[in-house]
Amino acid sequence: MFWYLLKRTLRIPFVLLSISFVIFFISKHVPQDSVINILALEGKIEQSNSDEGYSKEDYLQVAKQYNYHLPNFYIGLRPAHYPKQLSLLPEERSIEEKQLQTEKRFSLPSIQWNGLDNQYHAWIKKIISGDFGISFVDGKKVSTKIAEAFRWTIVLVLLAILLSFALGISMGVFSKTTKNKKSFEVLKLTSYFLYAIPVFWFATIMLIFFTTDDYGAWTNIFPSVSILDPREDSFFPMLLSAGKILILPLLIMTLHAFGYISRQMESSLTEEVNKLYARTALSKGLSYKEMITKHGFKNALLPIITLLSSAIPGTIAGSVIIETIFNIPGLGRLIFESILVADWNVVFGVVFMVALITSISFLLSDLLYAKTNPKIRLDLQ
Amino acid sequence: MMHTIKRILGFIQKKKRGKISLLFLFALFIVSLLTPFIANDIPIVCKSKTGLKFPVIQKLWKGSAQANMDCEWSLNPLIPYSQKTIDIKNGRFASPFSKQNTTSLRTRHWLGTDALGRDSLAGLMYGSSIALRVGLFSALIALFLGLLVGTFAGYFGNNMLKLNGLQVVLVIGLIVLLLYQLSYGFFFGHAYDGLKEFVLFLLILALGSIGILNSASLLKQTIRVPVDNIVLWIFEVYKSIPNIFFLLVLLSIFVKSGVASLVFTLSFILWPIVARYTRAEILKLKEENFIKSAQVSGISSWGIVRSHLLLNAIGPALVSFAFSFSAAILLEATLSFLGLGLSVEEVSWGSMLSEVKNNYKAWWLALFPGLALFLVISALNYIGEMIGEFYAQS
Repeated sequence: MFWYLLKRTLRIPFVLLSISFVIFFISKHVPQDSVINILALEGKIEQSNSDEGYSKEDYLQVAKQYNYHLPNFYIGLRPAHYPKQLSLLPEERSIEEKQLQTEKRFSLPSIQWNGLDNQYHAWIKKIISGDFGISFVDGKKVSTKIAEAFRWTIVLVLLAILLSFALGISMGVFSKTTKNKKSFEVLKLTSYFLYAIPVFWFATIMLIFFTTDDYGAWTNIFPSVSILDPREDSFFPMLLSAGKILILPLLIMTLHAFGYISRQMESSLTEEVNKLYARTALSKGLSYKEMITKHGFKNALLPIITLLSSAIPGTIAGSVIIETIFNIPGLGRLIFESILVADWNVVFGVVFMVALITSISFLLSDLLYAKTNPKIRLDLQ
Repeated sequence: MMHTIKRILGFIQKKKRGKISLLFLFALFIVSLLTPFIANDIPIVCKSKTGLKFPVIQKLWKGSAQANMDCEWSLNPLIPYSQKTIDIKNGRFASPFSKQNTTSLRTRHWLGTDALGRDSLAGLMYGSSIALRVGLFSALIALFLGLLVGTFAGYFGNNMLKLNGLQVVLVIGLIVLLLYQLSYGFFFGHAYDGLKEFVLFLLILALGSIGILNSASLLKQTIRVPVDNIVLWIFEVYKSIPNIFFLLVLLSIFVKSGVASLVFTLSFILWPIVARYTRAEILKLKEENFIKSAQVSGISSWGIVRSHLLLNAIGPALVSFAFSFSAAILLEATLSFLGLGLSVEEVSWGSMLSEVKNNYKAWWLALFPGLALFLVISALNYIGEMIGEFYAQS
C-alpha cells in the first residue's frame, strides 16, 4: 500500500512536467505577440510614435528582459542555412525569413544542442521555485491572481459536490425503497434529464425564465446576473454580499451533478439487491426496506465514495461555463479571459493548478477505493 | 460488416426509444443535407427569359448566385430565408408569438428572429448541418486515431514490439522529419518543386544508415519498445487536464477558427476515449484461444491485428464513436456559446444561444437550439449505450 501510494505520488510531478512541455509548445505557436502586451502594460505604446506604436529599442529591451532572445528549447531543429538567431522584431523577422526561404529552396534539417541556456529552461526553473511570473494584462502576480480566483471556484465546487452527493445518495435510496411506482418513474426521468441536459443551456434557460417576472409573478425567483466587485479586501464579507448571486449557479451545478449521482446510486443499489446476501437477508425475515438500509446501502455506497473525489475535476470543468455565464471571477473565467488576450503566464498557472487538483483527486479516489474495498487493498499489497 | 451493422440496428430498434432516436437522427441528417433547398432566400428553379436556372445549386456550387433575377415562374424554398438573410422589418428580436411585420404565413418567422432580423428556424436548420458535420468528422478522426493507438498499445503491450537498429533509426528519422515539416516545411511550405532533392536526400540517408549500422553490426540488436506504457502515459496526461481547459488552450493556436480547425482540435481531444475502449477490448481478446492459436500457427503480428483483432474490436469502438460524436457536438456548441468556436458568420446552435446574452427576454433563441442540441445528444448517447448492450449480450 505504501509503495503504491509513493509510486502514484511520484508520478504527479512527471505528469505536470509533460503538461508544461505541451503548454510551452502551444504558447510558442499562438498568433499574438506577448512582447507587445508587455509594452502596452508598461505604457510604452503610443499611437503617434510610428506605424507599430512602439520604438524598436523598447521592443528589443523587453524581448531581452523576457528571454525571447534565447533559443526555445534544449534541442533545436532548423534548416542548415539559417543563422543562429533571427531578428527579434516581428517585421524584420518576417522579411528575413522570406529572404532565407527564397535564397534556398531545399535545405537539410540540422539539429542543434542549445544547452541549458534556453527559454524553456529559464521558465521552468522559475516555476519550480514557485514564481509563475506576472500577468501581461494588469501586471499583477499570477499566483495572487490565481489565489483570488480559486477562492470562488473552490467555494462553488465544494458546496455543489457536498449538496449533490447528499441529495443524490438519499434520492437514490428513496427511489429504490419507495413503493410508489409513479414517483419512482418521475424521479428516474428527472435525474436523467438533469444529467443529460447541456449545462450552459440549462443555465441560460434558468436565467431567462426565472430571473424576471415577465412570465408571471412567481417566476422571479433568482437575482439576475450582475458584476461582482472583487476589489474588497477580505473574501468572506464579499462572499456574503455576493451570496444571493451565487445561489443560481450553485443550484445549477448541484442539480447537474445530482442527476448523475442519483443515477449511479440507484444502479449501484440495484446491483447489490440482486446479490445472494440480499436474498439471504430477505429470507431471514427482513423487509425489503430494512434489507436495503441495513445491508445493501453500505455496499452500494462504495463505488459512490470513490466518485466523490473524482467529481472535483468534473465540477471544476463545469464551472468554466457557469462562471462565464454568471460573471463569477473564478478560475474558469480567469483562464477564459486570459486565453482571449494571450496572457500565457496566467493560462499556464491555471492549467497547472487544475492539473494538480485533478491528479490529487484521482489519487485520492483510488486510495478511497482501496480503503473501502479489501479486495483491491490486498491486490495492491 | 454490413451484416453486423444490420443486426445492431435491429437490436436498437427493439426498444421504442432506440427507434425514435434512430429516426430522429436520420431525419436530422436528411434535413441538414437538404437545408439549402428548404430554407433559402433565392428560388430553387427560376424560369427567366434566358432559360431555366437553378440559383440554389449555383450558389452551392460557386459560392454565390445572381441576386435579383427576373423570374417569369419560380419554385421557391418553403422557408424564404437563409440563415444569413437579414429581415430589417422584423429586426430586434421578433418573438414567435408577437405580431410580425410579414405579408403571409409563409414569410412569417415561426421561431422568431435575432437582433439583426435573421430567421431562427433557418438558423436552426443550418446549425444542424454544422453540428452534424463537426460531430461526425471529429468522431471519425478520433475513431481512426483511437483504433490505431488502442490496438497498437493493447496488442504489443510492453515487450512484444521489438525494433532492430535500422528500424529505430528510421523511426527517429521520421519523427525528426515530421517535426521539420511541421515547423518549416520540407521546402519551406511554399515551393514544393524541391521534391527530387528531397527523395534523393531520403535515399542517401537510408542507404547511409544501413551501411553504417551494418558495419557496426548494430542491426541485429533489438530494443523492446514499451508501447503500452507510453500510451498509458499519454492517457494520464490527458486525464489530468479537463477537456474544456485543454480545448480552450488548443484553440488559441488558430488565427481564424473554422470548421476544419475545430474538427482537428476536437478529434485531438477525443481520440483517447476511443483508444482506451479499444485497448481494453484488445487486452481481453488477446487472452482468447483463437488469437493464441493464430500466434502459434505462425501468422505475423500484422496479420493477427488486421484479420482478427481489429474486426473484433471495431464493435466496442463503435460505442465510443457514438459517445465521442455527441461529446464533439456538445463541445462545439459550448465553444460557440462562449464565442470561441466558429467564426461569427457561421450560424451554429451554440452561437444562436449566445445571442441571448444580449437580450435575456429573447427566450426563443435559447429554447429551440438548446432543445435540438439536447435531443441530438441524448439520441446519440442512447444509441451508444444500446450498442454497448448489444455487444455485452452477444
